[in-house]
Amino acid sequence: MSEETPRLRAAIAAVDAWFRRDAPTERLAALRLLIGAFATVYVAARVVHLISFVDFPARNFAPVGVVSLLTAPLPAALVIAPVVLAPILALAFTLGWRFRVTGPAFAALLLWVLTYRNSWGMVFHTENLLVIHVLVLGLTRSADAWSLDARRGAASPRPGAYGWPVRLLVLLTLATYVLAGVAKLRLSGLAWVDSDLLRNHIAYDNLRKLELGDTHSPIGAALVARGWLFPPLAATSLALELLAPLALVGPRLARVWALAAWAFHAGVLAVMAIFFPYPLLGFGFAPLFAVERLPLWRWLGLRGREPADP
Amino acid sequence: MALDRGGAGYAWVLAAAMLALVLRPVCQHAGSDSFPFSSYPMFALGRPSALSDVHHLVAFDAAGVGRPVPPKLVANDEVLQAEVTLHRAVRAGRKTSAALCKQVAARLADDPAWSDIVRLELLSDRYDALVYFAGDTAPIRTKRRARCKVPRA
Repeated sequence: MSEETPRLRAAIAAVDAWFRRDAPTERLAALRLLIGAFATVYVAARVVHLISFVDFPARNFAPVGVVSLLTAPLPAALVIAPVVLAPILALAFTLGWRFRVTGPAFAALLLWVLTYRNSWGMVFHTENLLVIHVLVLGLTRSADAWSLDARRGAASPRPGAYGWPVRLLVLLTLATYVLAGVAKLRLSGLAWVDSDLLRNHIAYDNLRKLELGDTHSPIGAALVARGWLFPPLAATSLALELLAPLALVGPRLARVWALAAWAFHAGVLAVMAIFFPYPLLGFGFAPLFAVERLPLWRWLGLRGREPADP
Repeated sequence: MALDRGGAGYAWVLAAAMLALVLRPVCQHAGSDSFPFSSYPMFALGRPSALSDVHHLVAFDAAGVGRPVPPKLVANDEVLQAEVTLHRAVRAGRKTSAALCKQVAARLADDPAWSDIVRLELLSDRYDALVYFAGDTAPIRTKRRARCKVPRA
């Protein structure tokens, strides 16, 4: 055995201990309730939109992700049925009812329905994190507490099963922001910061919205006259994305980063009228917080053991 | 035997799979996109120039005054989906552009809010976006791709 082996083992054990550090059952359950509730309202509110694709011409069909299995659009009934089923399964997911089945089933259905919506020549980026979070929650023991399964005694606590899914949710959240930063460097390099790329993009985005009869941002339209503003804005947003892993250092840095990332999305809404509901309403950043401490749960009559720091 | 969704093996397999799927776009060519595992290229390219080409449908009344047709009448409530629909029609040629124009005109005919509209035009306009917001909203160049009447009973 080489001398390196014990060190390697120690390193692996340290990573495993960090990744699988235990957390209260209620934290993962609270995330299921919050993210599930958002998903339920979201898919219910978007039923008309999600069904609108039945009227689209087949020539516009450009499948991505799992929908790439199809070579042509689905018949109307097969588009409508999953869209109608989605809010029902979302509710079962949120309430933790027969979660071993409804958890993965809703995750798969949400993935399908939202990927289908993105398969018409325009890939949106407002729902990616929601789908990723629901996949993790649906495939883990997130309904072992504060659920209908727990109430009827169908879910018993399993030590060590509740910390790592939260850690994974955090890692995936931060990874999506890092990827956005990496994309800017790969596609535009530092010119993204020290040129007019962002200014021109904001001007173009608001112009096209006006000319296409949609809501634009009067703030963005006014700001594009001030060219000096954009390099610092671009540098700040790039730093926020690339430095996202700092949120792993501790709860305080996680809170600071989440607040900064929220402010970034608020800024995008202000200057481009682009609404990212999942992060802007706070749900996207929920895994970074000890959400089981929210007063909401006491108000709902849900109680758990004393929580630890995230 | 039931799958142990709390065990170490399951934790690492799921984590490795999810992280690999989320990070995979880094290994693909820059600008590639998919859902939900994306490289997030939406704002990454920026625009080197303020010159902006916009394909849009403009509704004209009898006096020749035009106003833009909103996204929900072109595709659905998403402006970017409407933009893609118009772009694809223009790229496909005159026949497809005319077909889209007629389709939207029929939708307008059913909507009392558009009762003053007599015709539609699918236009490809080029603007300088910075000049536009400085007050000069006239296009630098206009190309008409299709023109159609709004059917009235």
